[in-house]
Amino acid sequence: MRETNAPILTVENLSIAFGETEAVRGLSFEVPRGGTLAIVGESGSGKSVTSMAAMGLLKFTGGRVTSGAIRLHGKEGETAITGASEAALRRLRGNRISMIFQEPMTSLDPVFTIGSQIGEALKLHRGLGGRAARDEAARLLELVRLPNARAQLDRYPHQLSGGMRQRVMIAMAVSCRPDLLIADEPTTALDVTIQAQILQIIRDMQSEFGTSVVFISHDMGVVSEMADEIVVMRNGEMVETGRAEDVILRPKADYTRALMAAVPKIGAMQGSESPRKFDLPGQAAAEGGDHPAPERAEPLVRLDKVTTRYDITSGFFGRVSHRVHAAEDVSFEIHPGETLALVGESGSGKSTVGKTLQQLVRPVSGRILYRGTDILSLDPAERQRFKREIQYIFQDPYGSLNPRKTVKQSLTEPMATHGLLRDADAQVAELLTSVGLKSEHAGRYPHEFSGGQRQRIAIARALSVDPGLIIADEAVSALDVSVQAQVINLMMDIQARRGLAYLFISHDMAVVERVSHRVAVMYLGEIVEMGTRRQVFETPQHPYTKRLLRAVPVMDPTRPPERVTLTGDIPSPIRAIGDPRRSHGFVEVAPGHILADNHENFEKYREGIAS
Amino acid sequence: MTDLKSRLLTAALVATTALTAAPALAQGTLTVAQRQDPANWDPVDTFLVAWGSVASNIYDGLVRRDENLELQPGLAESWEVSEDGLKIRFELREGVQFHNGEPFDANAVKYTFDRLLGDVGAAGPQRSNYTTIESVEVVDDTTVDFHMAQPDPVILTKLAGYGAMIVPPQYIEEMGQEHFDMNPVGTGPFKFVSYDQGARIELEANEEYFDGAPALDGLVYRFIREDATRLAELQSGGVDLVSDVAFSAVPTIEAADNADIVAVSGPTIYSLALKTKDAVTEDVRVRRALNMAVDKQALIDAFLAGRGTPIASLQGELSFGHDPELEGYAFDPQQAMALLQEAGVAPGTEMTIDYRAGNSTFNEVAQALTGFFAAVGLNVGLNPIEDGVFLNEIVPQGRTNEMFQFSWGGWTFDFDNTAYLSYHEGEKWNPYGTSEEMNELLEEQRQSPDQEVREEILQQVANLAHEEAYHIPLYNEQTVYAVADRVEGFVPAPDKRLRLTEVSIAE
Amino acid sequence: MPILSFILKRVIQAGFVLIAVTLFVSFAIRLTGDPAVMMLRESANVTPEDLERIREGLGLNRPFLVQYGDFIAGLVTGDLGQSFFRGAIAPLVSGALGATLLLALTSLAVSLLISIPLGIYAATHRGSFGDQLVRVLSLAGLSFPNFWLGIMLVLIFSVTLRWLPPSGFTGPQSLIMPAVTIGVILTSTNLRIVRTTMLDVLSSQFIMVARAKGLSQTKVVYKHALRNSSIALVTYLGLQFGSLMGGLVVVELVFNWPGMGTLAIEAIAQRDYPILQTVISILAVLIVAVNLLVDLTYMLLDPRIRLE
Repeated sequence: MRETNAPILTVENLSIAFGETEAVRGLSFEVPRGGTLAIVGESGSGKSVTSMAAMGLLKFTGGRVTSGAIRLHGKEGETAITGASEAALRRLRGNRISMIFQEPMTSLDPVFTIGSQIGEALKLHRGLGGRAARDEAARLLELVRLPNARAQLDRYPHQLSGGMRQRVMIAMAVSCRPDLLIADEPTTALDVTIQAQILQIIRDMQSEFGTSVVFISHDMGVVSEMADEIVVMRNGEMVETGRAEDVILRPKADYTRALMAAVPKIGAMQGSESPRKFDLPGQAAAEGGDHPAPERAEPLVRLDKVTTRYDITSGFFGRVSHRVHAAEDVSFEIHPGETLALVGESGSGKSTVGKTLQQLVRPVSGRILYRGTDILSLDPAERQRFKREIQYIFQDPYGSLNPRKTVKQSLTEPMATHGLLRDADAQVAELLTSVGLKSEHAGRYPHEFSGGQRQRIAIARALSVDPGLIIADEAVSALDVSVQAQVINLMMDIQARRGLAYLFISHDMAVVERVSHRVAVMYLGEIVEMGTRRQVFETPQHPYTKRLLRAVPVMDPTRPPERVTLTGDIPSPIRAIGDPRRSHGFVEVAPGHILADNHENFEKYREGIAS
Repeated sequence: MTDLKSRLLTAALVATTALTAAPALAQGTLTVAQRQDPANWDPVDTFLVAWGSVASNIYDGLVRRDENLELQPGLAESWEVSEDGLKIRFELREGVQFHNGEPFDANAVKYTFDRLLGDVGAAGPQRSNYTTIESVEVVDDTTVDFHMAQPDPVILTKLAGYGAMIVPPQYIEEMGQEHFDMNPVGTGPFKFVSYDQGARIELEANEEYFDGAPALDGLVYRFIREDATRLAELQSGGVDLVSDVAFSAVPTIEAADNADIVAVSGPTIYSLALKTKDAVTEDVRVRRALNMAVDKQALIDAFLAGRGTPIASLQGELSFGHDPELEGYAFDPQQAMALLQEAGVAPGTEMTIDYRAGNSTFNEVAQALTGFFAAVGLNVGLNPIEDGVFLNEIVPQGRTNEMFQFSWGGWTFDFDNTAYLSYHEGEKWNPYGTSEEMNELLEEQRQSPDQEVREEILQQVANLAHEEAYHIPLYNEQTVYAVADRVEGFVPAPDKRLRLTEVSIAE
Repeated sequence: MPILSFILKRVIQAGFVLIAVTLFVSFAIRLTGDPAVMMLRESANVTPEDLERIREGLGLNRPFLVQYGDFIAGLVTGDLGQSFFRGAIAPLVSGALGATLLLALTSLAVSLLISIPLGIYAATHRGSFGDQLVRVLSLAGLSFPNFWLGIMLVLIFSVTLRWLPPSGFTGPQSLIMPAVTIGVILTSTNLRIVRTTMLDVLSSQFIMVARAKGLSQTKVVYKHALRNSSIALVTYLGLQFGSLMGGLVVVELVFNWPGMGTLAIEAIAQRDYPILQTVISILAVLIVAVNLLVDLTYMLLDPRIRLE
């Protein structure tokens, strides 16, 4: 399959600058013809900038190539991309080199149909007329297994899910059979089962058209599934390069080794009962690492058949025609010092449960008991007191910290609200130290910190009122892996010290495996399976749990990726009024391991909704 | 709709091609710009000076008042008033035709007044001026008798007024009232040609006019509300004659090289009425002091560009009843302060002037007046009031402050008109009352058919009002026209009626 | 179906707005002065009977709700009836409305023809000298009072150069100065809107995707970016319409343009209730209709709303 002749793309001694700031320095690599080169690195490493340079799009981002060359050795001969005229580049773009972007939700123009957007490139580069372009677009959509391909041509981007839009992007990118396809984090914004489908499609397109691929990602699991060769970048420079197997299994550079250590690997916790910190170089060895499960005495929080729904109105009189069944009969307990993970994909209702627990939304039925007290039946003043007990950390710490307030102001505000302020300076210093920051950071503003540091501040703020439970909603999802590992370690340390309970909401199965004592899997607003981490990860019972686990990319370059089914999307939790939900009960398959009793019908049921 | 469409089309068409200059005016056509479109050309329906300045060229009355305010024969060649003043016989002009060819005769006169005093006139503002007429009797084709319900010394003057313009009976009966509103027909020197509401009315010379055809071929009036725009039209050659020129614009026109100012004493006087009841101005000494505090000439120079005359009573020099002997209170702040002290008015006493908002000239005058009053130690504030409220709610109800604006343009130029409603008991502009003596004088002159007796009594009225200082008479405004140099023979009338029979245009 | 239901909803809303506006206007205007008194203010010897006769002639002695009911019935059946002083209302208003719309639409067209290309230029050459110039000019345009600007134009083009008639509506050349006066104000704001929304859209990822397809700058800007920013522009134009009408009144006055503003001012001076009621009601209908039109244009431009 793989040809051994000249590379398709050569990058020689490439340097890129934005204004005075160098973003890439002296980068050289080659993309093997017909193969996949992955560029791996954390944010700011220069990987995306490099891809824009390869597209000749750098000038539209405000950057410029300061030295070096990029050459494409395509079917139509050799072309220097650096130094080419805009007219020449326009003939290459979308034709010989094409690109898939990270955010499928914003990659398509909202006001034009799918068909017309695919047709643009076909008309431009392949000279197809209206009718022919339309037929070809339909054929391409079939190729990326978009259901009802021809009917989709007249639809608009907002009518498609993220996964479907990314398929459209791929169809568009391969429409002119490019020599090189650049995929910049193409699955980062997608759910894990959808990610598996998209990766499969990219591989299929590659073999269909013999296209070479540059695959940019921060996710080592994904890279391991896709790459023949890997370039590891850091701060604009190449750290290491080599065959994928070598880089992943036998990293030579210190940075690569540290990076690999920080990657949560699914299955790495097999046989272990408790969560375990990451073993990060430079940090004190996670002595024994074991993080014992707490005693299961009186639960800290108990949810009893909590149901939260949102109304959707429509029509002339604004009647409620549909409802979002965001959370249905959700029941679980969290014990002091315990981490319960809520996992699931978009629309599973995991965030709604978090918001309901924090009293940001009011459930339509059910009870929330905190240390035995029913919070919802309290009067507003008393309920306010309970808000202190349950704190929240969001995915985006920058959005949740007021940019005009110093760290000290952000930290003391909740303390003052709940009357806990005694000696502000000392309390702030103690909080900052406890999250691994320095007390002199108190006077600074959020923008002066990195993403990881900001998340530490957010944690410090949650801790400031001495809560019993912290809800971490995708709290580490936006962080680079090395930072993510550090923050997770910090959270575990704090839990061990303070006996805190966490409700850890995440879509990332590998992270969940690392941090949780118990796991609840949610699907369409319902818990379908719940048990200890070992029970759920090692003996998953529910078909959906199994599907989720199977979809997680495994960082094992020696194992060929499993083929996944290419049909199916994530169904919506929106139901028409009068379309009753099929409620279910639970069976206990092992002590503490419960399973939805309708699991045998799951696949049928799922197809029914999905179609 | 199609009209709009075609306008749009033409607009687009021409906008894309070269601009064409405005078409030159036809020879011998004069264009006048005035502020207001009276919007209805029926004489019984109007109360606007803007009507008279146009329609005086279309209609004639039985009598006509000339530029010197002398009564001249109009459609009546002569008239005779009976001893008791209860009957007036008119001998009519013969061989006169309305513009539509309909003959003018005694029936037309009777028709006109029956209409004015009957149902048609009832809904209009003119009827109330003519209610002293009981009936009109046709004696023969060229003779009519007016039977009066009571003697009316001003009736002849009023017969030159708007409501008494003779209208064509057949035309109105055939075409209907509404048609007549928009398509006037009279006997006057100019014939109606076309009317574009809100924009313009066009007239052409009536070659058969009984008093001789006018010098002009045609006459166009354009209605332009904005003062500055009217003057811009004059300066750019779009119009030849502009009425209602603001005083503030007078120096600009005087300085222009292609136009000039023509002015005449007008009917309108400005004054401040004083509250004679339940106020500090109850004391006549205070009212006199206020009169002495004001330098009228200074106001005229500062705000009227000198185009006005100080007055001693509520009338101008041209008014019937004006007493040249009567001198107003001289400007004397010292004396004013002494009088105030004598009346026990402490320095810093507060008073307020109520006045009609919206007249920018009087607004400035009022500001200046507060300065004059301050100079004699009074603290006078201003209270501008919207016209409708001022005329309906404040004055007739006696809800004014110490001083309030009284400005009046008695179109009859007979002091009776102004004096009666300012001084007679129960009148709208006399909410606080005057004196029994005043009432009697006013009634007496109304009964008298002898004009000399009347003039004497009206002069007495003026003197009495001066003694009592019911008002602070300020000034008589001039009516100001801006006239292009090519216009010849323009003589303005004091009553603002433009009769442009003698005017011509130089090449 | 959703479009029909949407339109029906808006039409019913508009009905309520109109009832509220007309009721308020009819009521309020009767508080500002009695037309009979205004008519007779220069006449001597006025008796209460005279006033009563005039009120009767004008139909003002009937109960308010009867007068209002007649007015609304007239509006609905299209028989606008008679004014107090100026004859039938329908021809008056239709002429004035035509003139006002002609002026408004011409100004808008002029403004869009200038502001769209200039705004796009500024957005695509951000920070350049041209961009700075456009921003300064648009600020300068905003700072002119339109009254003043109108008079300046008259002084230059009519009085001094004698190229254009200073007032009235005698032909297409009459349209130029009023349209420019309003156009300058509109252009200043539209230019800013076009520039900012274009900048916003140009930084979207789908624009980068369009470039990555190999589309030319013209295609990217005029097809993808303009179509997307027009959604914001249309919204803004809809919001602007009310104040555009307000500005028109002043400009109509300066140029003696025979439009709705001039008609309304004349009617206020004479307390001609029927004209004023009709003018204000029609302006209200117009504003409601324009907003409906904006919403429909929205649907046309933005499939996310159309296909909801």
